[in-house]
Amino acid sequence: MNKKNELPAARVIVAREPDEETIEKIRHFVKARGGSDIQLVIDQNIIGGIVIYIGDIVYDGSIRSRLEKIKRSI
Amino acid sequence: MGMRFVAGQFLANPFEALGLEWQSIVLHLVSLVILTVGLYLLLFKPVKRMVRERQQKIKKIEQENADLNAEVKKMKESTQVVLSDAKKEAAVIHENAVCVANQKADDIVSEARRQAKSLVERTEKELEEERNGLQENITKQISEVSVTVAQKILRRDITAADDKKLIEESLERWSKE
Amino acid sequence: MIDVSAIGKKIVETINKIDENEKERSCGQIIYSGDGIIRIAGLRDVRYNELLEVRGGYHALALNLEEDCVGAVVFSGEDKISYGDLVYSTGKTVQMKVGEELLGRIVNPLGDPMDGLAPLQTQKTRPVEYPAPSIMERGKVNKPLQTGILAIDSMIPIGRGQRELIIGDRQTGKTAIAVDTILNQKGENVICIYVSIGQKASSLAKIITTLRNAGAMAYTCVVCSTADDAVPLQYLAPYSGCALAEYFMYQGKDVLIVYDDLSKHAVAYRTMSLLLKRPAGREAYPGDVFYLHSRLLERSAKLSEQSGGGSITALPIVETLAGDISAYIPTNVISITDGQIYLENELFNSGVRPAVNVGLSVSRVGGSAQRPAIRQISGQLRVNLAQYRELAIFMQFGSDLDSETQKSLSRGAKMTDTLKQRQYLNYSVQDMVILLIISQSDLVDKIPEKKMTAFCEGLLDYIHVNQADLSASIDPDQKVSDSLRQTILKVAEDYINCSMGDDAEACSAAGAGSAVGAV
Repeated sequence: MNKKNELPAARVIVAREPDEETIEKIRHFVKARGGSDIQLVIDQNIIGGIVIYIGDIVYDGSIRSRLEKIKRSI
Repeated sequence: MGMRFVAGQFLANPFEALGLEWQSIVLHLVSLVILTVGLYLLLFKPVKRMVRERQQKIKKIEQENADLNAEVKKMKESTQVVLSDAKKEAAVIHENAVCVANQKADDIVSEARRQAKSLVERTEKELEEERNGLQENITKQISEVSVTVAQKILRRDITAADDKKLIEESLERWSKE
Repeated sequence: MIDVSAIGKKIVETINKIDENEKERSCGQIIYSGDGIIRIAGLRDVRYNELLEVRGGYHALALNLEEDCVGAVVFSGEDKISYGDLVYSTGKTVQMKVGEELLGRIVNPLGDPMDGLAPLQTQKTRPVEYPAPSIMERGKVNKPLQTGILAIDSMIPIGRGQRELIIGDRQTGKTAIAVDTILNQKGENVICIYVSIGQKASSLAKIITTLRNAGAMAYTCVVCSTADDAVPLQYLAPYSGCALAEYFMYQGKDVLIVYDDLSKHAVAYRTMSLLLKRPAGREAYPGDVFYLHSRLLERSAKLSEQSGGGSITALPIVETLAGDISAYIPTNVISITDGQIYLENELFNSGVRPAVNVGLSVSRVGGSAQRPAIRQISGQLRVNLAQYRELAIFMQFGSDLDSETQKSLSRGAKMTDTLKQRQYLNYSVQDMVILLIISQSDLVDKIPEKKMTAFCEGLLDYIHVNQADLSASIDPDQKVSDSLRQTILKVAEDYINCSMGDDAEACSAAGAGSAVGAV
């Protein structure tokens, strides 16, 4: 996928534009997980929360996925 | 007297009186003897033998008849024995057959009963399941509706502050792991 | 009738129980989907045979790990998966639900019930793919598995822990033998698992009805994948069934598993392989089709006493085309199994049912497990039958035969008739001893040829009802003593005298005259 020596850029999906403080926190988190830079995507469909892709790893903290999980387990 | 004379003459030489000579008489006698002996040998003996044989044959047939009669009698008796035996045997066979048939009938009946019972049990179970299924269906409907409603409300009501809190919570939790 | 408030309560409870927090997960994106196959970009740490989760709750199995993508087959929801969907790895292999609860149930290869009854409560699972018992864990096959079919138990005995292939054309009674064997395990303390692979749903329903009516479902589990199930499910079915069997085997129990049938399994695997673009070999099967079946059948074993002494007896079924046992899959499976029961179309059509070809059928390990009584009296049976068949073919064109030949022909025909058996009419070991002794004695000369089958059935009924002590006195684990043999012959003679009557005399008078016609 990505070349070995190049750090992957993280794709961050949020529902609405976060403030600087939050972006800084996200950037910090991504760095700690081996991502190089963040690429912010606004997607209303996730309703709320955040989804971060770093390479093959996904961190899904969106409201949509939580609701889906609830729906599936009933 | 004359008569007497004749008679005396006659007695004295009867052959002559008859005009025969004694030689011819002798010859006749001889031939008679020969004839008798010949006839006896050639005819009488075989006839006698034949008669004897016939008699024997008849005797034998009579004997056989008697034997046969005895046998028939005996057979009549034994037939009766066999008949009664056969009757007894038939009764036994019949009994066996009835036993087997009864057993089979019992088996079939009990098998049918068992099947009927299991069918009823199964149907009851299926009924129960059907109800559960229905319930499940309702649950699904309810949950779908509620999730959709929640989605709509959340989309409208969530504030930037809520969102921020949510994001930071998530980041914190992931950092801890 | 339906308690709505209870439903609401249940929903609230479930929602409260859910841990809504998502953890970090490895994921990839679908870049191709078609024919039940998906290709996924990403998922770099996925492992072979790992269970994948597709967004929406569908599952897939990773089978091809390539440089830039992963090839996987989906179990369901083929039509709902679309390009770009996320696929998560789960870190697990495919698991089959196991437990005593599955007995009497019909489940799919993932352990979900298919019989419309309550969902399974069991928490226990076993991986579908599991290594076979090691050499040291195994023991010697020493206990017989009675099929209740005279022809098989006398000449092709099967032992617990053996793998005996049932092979033949379609409509020759392969499944019938397997079902009869399952029915005969009633009260034998053997758990049965019937795995249907790509079968018609109608024939499967018929089998299940049979099992249910005979009360055999109490100890049987049916793992089903019908012809319209997704190919990966058909591929998984035998492994799932085997996982369930292993669960019982490692508890020290005896298990009988029927794979019906492995040729359809091979076809399902071929479909998957071709769609995954794996190289095709002979008959378009992939290169590892031998391993496909060998790793499955190796899991059937008899465990040693130290390991619990359980066993899995496997009866794989393979369908041939026009009696060709030298095709690819039949030869493969023949070489893996410990023997085969070969069923022949010609025999089936000429009324010999079960249509077992005695010459081509063998059992490589079952002989040592055969009951001593049966072994003692069936020793000559196979040779006698073979001689009869040879003689019968040779004499087909002969017009005038000497009385000796006629006699042996008639005896052979009667022996063949004795081995005929109606479906679902299983013989107990005692019955078998009686029939084998009589069919090899001089008594058969008294029975008219056409009445042999009726005689056998009638005699057994007669003995069961009127001479119950006799069959009770036969101990199958002991050799048959001479006095016992005499008693059996005496009883049989009585029965011949009272049942056959005039026919018997007519038969001995006419001698083997009718034998020629029958051949």
